Amino acid sequence: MTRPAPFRIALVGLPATGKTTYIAALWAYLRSGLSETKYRVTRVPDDTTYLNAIAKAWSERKDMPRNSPGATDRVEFTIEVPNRDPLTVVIPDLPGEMFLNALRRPSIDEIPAEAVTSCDLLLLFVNGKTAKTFAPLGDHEATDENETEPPQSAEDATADNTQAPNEFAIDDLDSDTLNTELLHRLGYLLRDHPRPATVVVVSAWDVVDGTAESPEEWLKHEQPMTWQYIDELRRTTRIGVVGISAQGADYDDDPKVHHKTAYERSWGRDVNGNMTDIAGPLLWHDGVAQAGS
Amino acid sequence: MTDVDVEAVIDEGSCSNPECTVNHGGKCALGKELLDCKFYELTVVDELVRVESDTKTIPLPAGEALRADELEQILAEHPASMVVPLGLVKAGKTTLMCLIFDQVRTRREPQWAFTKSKTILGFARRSYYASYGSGRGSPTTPRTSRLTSGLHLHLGMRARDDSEAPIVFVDLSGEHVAALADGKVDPVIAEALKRADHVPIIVNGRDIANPDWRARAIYEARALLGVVEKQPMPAHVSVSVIVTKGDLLVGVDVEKVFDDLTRGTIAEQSPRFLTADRNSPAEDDAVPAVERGLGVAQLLAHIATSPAPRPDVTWPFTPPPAPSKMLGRAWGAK
Repeated sequence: MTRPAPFRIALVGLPATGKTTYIAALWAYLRSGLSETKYRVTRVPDDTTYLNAIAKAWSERKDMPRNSPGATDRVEFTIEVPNRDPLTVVIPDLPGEMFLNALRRPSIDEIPAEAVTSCDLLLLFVNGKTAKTFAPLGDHEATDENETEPPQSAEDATADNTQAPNEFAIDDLDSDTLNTELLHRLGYLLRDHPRPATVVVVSAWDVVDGTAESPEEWLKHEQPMTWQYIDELRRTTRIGVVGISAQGADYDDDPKVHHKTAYERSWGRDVNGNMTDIAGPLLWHDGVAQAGS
Repeated sequence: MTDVDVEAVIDEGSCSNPECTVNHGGKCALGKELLDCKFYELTVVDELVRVESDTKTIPLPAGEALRADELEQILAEHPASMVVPLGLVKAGKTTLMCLIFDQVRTRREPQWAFTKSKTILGFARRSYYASYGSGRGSPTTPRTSRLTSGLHLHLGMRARDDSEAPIVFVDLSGEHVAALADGKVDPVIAEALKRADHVPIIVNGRDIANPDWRARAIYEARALLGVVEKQPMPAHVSVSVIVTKGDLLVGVDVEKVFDDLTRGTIAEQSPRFLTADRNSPAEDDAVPAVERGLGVAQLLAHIATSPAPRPDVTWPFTPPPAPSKMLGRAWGAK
């Protein structure tokens, strides 16, 4: 039997944006005995140690095993797709620290760079629960800094409600700035390559579901620079924005969410805001690819 | 290429359960292994720099403010409108650039869409201390030092008519501009002016708001305009005047201030802008609220395009004779 051509997916995003959780939930979903009308994995790959480890943690409602900053776990499995030839999906599970490092210093490790430049589908993960964009301090202060009299005592300082300012650090910037800059840098990497179709995956969607008509509307309001950047990118690249709740619910709100079976637990919103399953990004890509063919 | 990674160094942890004695050498109150106990947390005490010699890396753009040679490469592919704000120390030059960037990136200027920036971290570094993320109680903008004077900040925008409108700001130190006002032209400024499309003269609204400082501020700005007029610049350059910190100008006859600033200078017929980077609530009907972003829409409409050459201006500029109606009118008087 001929091995299907690999379909490479690059999951990129800052640390704790849900990349590994997504792989875990996707694997559990694809292995949950779905009907033939769905994506499913019918043949187990040779080595499933890593997939099983993260899927087990996911099913037990535990934190994902954290890879070391320099390590990458390669995930590869063949899925059966309705009305199409089987697809071998290759997903390197890249630690978010690799992408944060690519922002801290003007360079990127070869492994994530190769994953990005060779991929067919790029998924940028944005955590809906923790995403932020810095608001300006718009209120007018009493005086300029050099016109402010220093507090006379520690008590005065406390009463003055002053606090030690944080020093500028790239790690501390808002996700809107970091993700836009990350996309910009990945765009530089791709300058001599075909630009892959790109999906912005808003993870922890259960936390923000209902706050916007669709994931794209949410991104537009909550991460305005990132949204404008991808909206410009849309002129040359196929772009989608979806919401994914790989955990199924916030553990604090629904501590027993892990009691649900894999195909019931995870869910998402497609580009139009309609309920979909965890395979949403793949479904989107499939839909656009078929529409374009 | 050698690569460097940072790893957390974990020290012993501590237990948050008040009934547990682990922190004092006792046993876990729940009888668990420490790492399995939900009350026990490890503590990161330091970061260890780990050097890996076998990791290859690929260079990326830094996203910081650009040197002149770095800018050349960008402009060769994508020409941009060059804006050279000139103002004395604390006039608000860098704050104004950050305000414009912030207004566009947060979609507060509906006429303009952010498309890209080669200097996102450059803007972020300059605007960080004016954001809630800094943990400060009041906003401030780091002063542009002489060492970093002349770096460039890039902002790509698209207008509603779909045309692209990229801008490059030159971030100059106030000390260099002060020297210019005294006739000492720093090479960095001279180089910037040679390529300028727009030269806004930035006047500190705080000085204008204070009756004791107003006349001096106007004098200094006019002195600066007088020197700028003598510099070699492109024929199409637009010299405008911007008064910043407009939220402070309650009760000030701003039109008169602009007249006093520009009368008989290259900027006399130019657009004038009042901007505000902070909100100021309305005190009563007579004192309207000022919103952060005041003036940015008008300013963007002006600087986002390269101005047309002015046939009425020969360069270096020679001021026209003052109209007779102005003769005998006391400068600064109503």
